[in-house]
Amino acid sequence: MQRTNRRIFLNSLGATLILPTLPSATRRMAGSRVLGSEPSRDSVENDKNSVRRFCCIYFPNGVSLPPKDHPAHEDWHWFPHETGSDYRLTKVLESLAPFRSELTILSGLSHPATRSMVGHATGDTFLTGADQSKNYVNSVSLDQVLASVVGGQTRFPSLTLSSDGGVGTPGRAKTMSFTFSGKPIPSLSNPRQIFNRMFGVSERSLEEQRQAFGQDRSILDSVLSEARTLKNHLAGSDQKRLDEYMTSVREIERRLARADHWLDVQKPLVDENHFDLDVTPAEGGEDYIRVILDLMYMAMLTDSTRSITYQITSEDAKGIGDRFPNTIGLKGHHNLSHGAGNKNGYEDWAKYDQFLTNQLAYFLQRLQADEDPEGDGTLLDNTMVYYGCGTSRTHQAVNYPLILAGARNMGLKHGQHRRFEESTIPISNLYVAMLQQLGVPVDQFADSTGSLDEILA
Amino acid sequence: MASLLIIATALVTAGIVVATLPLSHKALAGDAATSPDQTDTGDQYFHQTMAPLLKRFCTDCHGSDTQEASIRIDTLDPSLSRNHDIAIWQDVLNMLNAGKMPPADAEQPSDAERVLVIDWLTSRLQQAAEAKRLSRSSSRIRRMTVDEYNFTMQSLFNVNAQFAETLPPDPISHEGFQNDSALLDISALQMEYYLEIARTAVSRYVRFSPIKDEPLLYHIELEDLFYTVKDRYETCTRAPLPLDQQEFAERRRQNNEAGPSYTFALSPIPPGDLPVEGALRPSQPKLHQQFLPVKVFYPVGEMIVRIKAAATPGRDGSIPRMRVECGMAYGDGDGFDAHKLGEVDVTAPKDQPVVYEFRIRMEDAPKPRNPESVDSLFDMLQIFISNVSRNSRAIYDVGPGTYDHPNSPASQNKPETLAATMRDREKVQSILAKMEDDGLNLLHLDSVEIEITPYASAGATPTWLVNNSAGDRPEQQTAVARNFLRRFMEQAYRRPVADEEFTQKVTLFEQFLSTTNSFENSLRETLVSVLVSPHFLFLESTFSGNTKNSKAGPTPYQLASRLSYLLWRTMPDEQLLKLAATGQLTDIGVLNNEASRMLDDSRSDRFLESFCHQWLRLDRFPHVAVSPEYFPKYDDDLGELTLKEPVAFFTEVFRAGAPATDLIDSNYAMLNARLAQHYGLPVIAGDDLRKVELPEDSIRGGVLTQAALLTMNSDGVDSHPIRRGVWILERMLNDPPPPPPPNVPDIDEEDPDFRGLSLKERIEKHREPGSCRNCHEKIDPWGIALENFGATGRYRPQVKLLEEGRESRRSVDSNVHLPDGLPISGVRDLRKHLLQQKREQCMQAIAYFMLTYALGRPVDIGDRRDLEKINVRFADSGYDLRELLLAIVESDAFLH
Repeated sequence: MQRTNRRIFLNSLGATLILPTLPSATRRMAGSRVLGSEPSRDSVENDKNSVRRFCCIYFPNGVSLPPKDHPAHEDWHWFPHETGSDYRLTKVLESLAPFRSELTILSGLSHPATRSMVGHATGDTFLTGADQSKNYVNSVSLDQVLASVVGGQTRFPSLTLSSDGGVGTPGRAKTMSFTFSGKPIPSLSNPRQIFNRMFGVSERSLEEQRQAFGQDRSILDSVLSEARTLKNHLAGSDQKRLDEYMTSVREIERRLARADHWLDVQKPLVDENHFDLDVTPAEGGEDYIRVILDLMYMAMLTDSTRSITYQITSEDAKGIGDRFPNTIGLKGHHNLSHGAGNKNGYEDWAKYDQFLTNQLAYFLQRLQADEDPEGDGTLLDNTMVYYGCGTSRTHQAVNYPLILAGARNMGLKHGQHRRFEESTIPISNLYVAMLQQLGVPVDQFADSTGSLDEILA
Repeated sequence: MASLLIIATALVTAGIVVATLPLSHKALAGDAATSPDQTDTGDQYFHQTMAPLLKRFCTDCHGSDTQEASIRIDTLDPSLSRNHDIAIWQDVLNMLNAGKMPPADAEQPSDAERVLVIDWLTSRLQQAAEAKRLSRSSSRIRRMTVDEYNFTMQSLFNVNAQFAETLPPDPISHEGFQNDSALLDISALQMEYYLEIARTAVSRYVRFSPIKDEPLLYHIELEDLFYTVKDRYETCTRAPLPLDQQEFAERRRQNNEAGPSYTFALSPIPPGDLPVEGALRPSQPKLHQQFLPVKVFYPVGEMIVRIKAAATPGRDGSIPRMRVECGMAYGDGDGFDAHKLGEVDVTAPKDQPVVYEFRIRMEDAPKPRNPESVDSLFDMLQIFISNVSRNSRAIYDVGPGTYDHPNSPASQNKPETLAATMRDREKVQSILAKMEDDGLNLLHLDSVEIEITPYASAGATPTWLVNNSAGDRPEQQTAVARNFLRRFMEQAYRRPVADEEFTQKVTLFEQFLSTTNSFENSLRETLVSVLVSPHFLFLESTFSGNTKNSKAGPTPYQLASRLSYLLWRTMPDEQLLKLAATGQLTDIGVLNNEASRMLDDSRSDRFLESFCHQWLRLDRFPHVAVSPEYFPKYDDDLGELTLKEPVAFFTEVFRAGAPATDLIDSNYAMLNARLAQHYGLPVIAGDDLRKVELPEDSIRGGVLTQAALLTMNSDGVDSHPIRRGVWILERMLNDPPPPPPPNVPDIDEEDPDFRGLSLKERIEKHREPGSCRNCHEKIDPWGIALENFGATGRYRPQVKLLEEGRESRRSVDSNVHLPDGLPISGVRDLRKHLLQQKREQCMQAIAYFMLTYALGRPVDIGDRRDLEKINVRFADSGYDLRELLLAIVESDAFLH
């Protein structure tokens, strides 16, 4: 289907966005009411200083890294050639210049377990650190750990997005988020569906909605007891089939408990006309990515959730985003990553890397442009943006290209290119540090051996 | 803080096995118990006899230092208790049997040594297979896939609406199937959407009173329809209004009496993507499209559009293709959101127009976003009628102008508007006349009737009508609810309902009734709970479970569901349930009859479509974008068409009872005008896909030469021999290459040796000695044989290259040596080779994939005996696909 370019820039949002009027006192009270049901989590304070958000943007297939003697080495190498604070942004990263002091470029890190795996199979563990080198097993992703702690303070505990939707294939997941039992969380990809979920206004009155919540609870109780009986009738291996169903039903029951108090809080009124909600990933690379980033930004601005993941496309050539480079006249992403030997192969690949960096820059600029309605400083100051990929060059699951941005109020030390000795430090150490700064007091994550405190101020 | 720490660390280390179905250790132990000493002596035997042989001949390449093809043998479990290891042991055995390993240039074992290992492995694998078979439970409980859910809701509510659009896509197994029971989880997100969908469905399709609303009727003569869209603020709309029955009948009578009268004809469109600026903008006249607003409609119901139309065939015999869409134009008319109702070849002559009928559920039609501006043409529901036949000489855009009508108020009020209107009409007329002179086909519209029936489909009564004479007394209401609820539950659960579970739902109803005091609401909510129950969402759930006993077969109701979800992808019909109730379905003759009956029903097309799509991995088709720079005449319509071809072809082979070897090579193809033209085949008229004999010695035939597969395995600009090779190995031969090893080097960057090499030559570099060779010499030749097909699947004697706007051409070389050394040239030789040397392997591959699909899980060693039987029956039938499917349906693997 043909479509004209209806991309709308969100320049005048401030004027049209109606945020719920919610004095911080009310929120604290509301917050503690929810937290009260989960006593182990009431240590998280909910004042202005503790609004901490996380958001991960993932891309596949590694980055262009022309070798030393290659003419493209100087300009088109993803990683800057210098380390420390005096590094020069390569062409690939130059759109990040305005945010130099708001971000850190990391090199040399990787998950130890993936170092012996095919690069393309590493997306599934990027945020989890599970060891899949022998069996396909997974564990909880960083965003879900955060959501389990701060999720009660927002309408949605977390938001999982991708350009493809669903969960994909084990090893080529189309989601970055995994539950505590290691199950993939289906991602949403349709902008209108995401918008409706986040900001859609119910046609029912508050009273009707409250009644519906009560009825939901009874319905869930009823089906949970059916599931329990059914499970008892099943042979051992089949019982597993119902576990996830029961977990999900209980999860919704918890959400309903939260949703009930959120009913008193008006949903932010966001005008859908500010978004090109009909763009499909097949139609437009940048148009599509930006509408997703706009929705993420809006979810942050309205404090609808504090934990978001977005997979730009799944690893390998197995996702719709493989065609995004076509919109700027390049070959498919997976092909680019295998075509370094072609004429201009490194440059072409790097041009797509640059395109992706431009999208990150766009997102950072959005977050930086707005004061945080919930905290001190800008949205960016209270949002940890984690951007990267689970391979360096294609098939090579070491030396992940990574950028950690924002979160100034969380004590990150920015403005540097930090190079760690390749394949010595588990990236989970970085995740421990990130989680701690996000206010989650863990001292271990997956296979971590410590906390990568070098990133701290 | 401390407690939190514990939660977090405990949870992050938790992990579960997702992709592997671990073989039950208990079952193995049970098996071993029949000969208690066997395991011990077996281990001893392994360590004394086998291990040294493996060490001597295998572990140099498959050991701790090197793992060729990612295979390591010295760490494999000799007791064959791990699934993953079983598969590798099976590969080892295959290699030994075929004499492929150790490779020819390595030290070879003596015949006696080889036999020793083969015998040991064969018997071990047989034991493992038996253990696996015995350990399997007879229940096949799994969540419905998204499609199955959609079809099931359609069956349950007897309405052809879309129910599953908010559900996230299903997981895809390693082998490409979307019904793998181990992967089909229900996340909280899905659960939320199930709840939401159930509420909407129940509120729409469960009625508490008979429908009183009359259908909305429109009769529109196209010459009466006028509106100007030149300027939003001068918009003058005369959208048609609904008529009462009498007036409608009268208009129809007048129309029939007066004979046909036409306004502007609709001309074809040029191939390729249409200019984006103004594409589908109502504000700009387009010669191929007419649109008309529908001002009044029911949001829930069915719309029938009847178009009286005729054709002027083109001089080349081409005929117009009428496409009907329904949707919204919004904003200033520059946005467009439409749902296709259908397409038809129009052949009726101008003096005898014919009525073509299209249907859509109003729930599925895009709706006005802005109810306040319903009077604006732009935010009104529209019907778009287009001629979408393609012709290179067609003119798409006539530039700025208007379709204004001389009688419109705008024209009537302003002389200059009228003058402009007349000028524009003349311009449009003269361009159409020119196209007619050029011999293009034209589509003529005489009149359009629209009928919108509320709620149900026209002529149908709602399936779920609650007798509302329940009265006010709770006991009376409960009695009504009980009757209704039981009927609903039994349909939804696809089996009789046990008293216990029925009582549970009745209690839920009473609980709702006592808190809300609303009969209607209470019953609706109870029905919602039925639709999110595991008994609804999971296939083959039972209540009176005997499934713990793995020896007992499935219940007749489970069988009924198993059959209907395989063949129809929806719930069993009345007859199946009846046969389940009497227990007759467990009789193999009855079952066979039922399977045949179901295959003769058009609902079984769903099976053919779904299996073919997943077998061929057509889900990957959208991941490749065809370059408009290289292929300006390629467009989305052509892409969609090519995607339909393999399914239509597979369906034809299946339905005609043709041998499945036709899938490798055939002397016919499923074509229409556009596809025949795309392939450079003789011209045919009309765009319905149909069976066409191919010319003698045509390069087409079989699936390998079908555009969708060639495009999907290209990079959108050029062919991609590696992808094509992998695809042939995986899907046609079921001999997937191992995954690439970790940390492979790139092909040498800008190696001077590479410059000026063709793609084939560069790929041959791949196969020079080095780490890539072992695998790529088994992959690439298959793809290189298809080098004569470009990215869109057209035949090419040469490769076109564009560099900085300059076009150059290079000849194509599809000569190659297959992995076994056979020299072949192009696709004809490739097909001949597959047909003659690999026929059995290709046919067994189809059987393997179809069994995988039918079981909803990976085929494993425990299915070996069944698979062998299925293969024999398939071969004996002359490779009849229907016979294959019936053999699968009657196999132990499927039935127990």
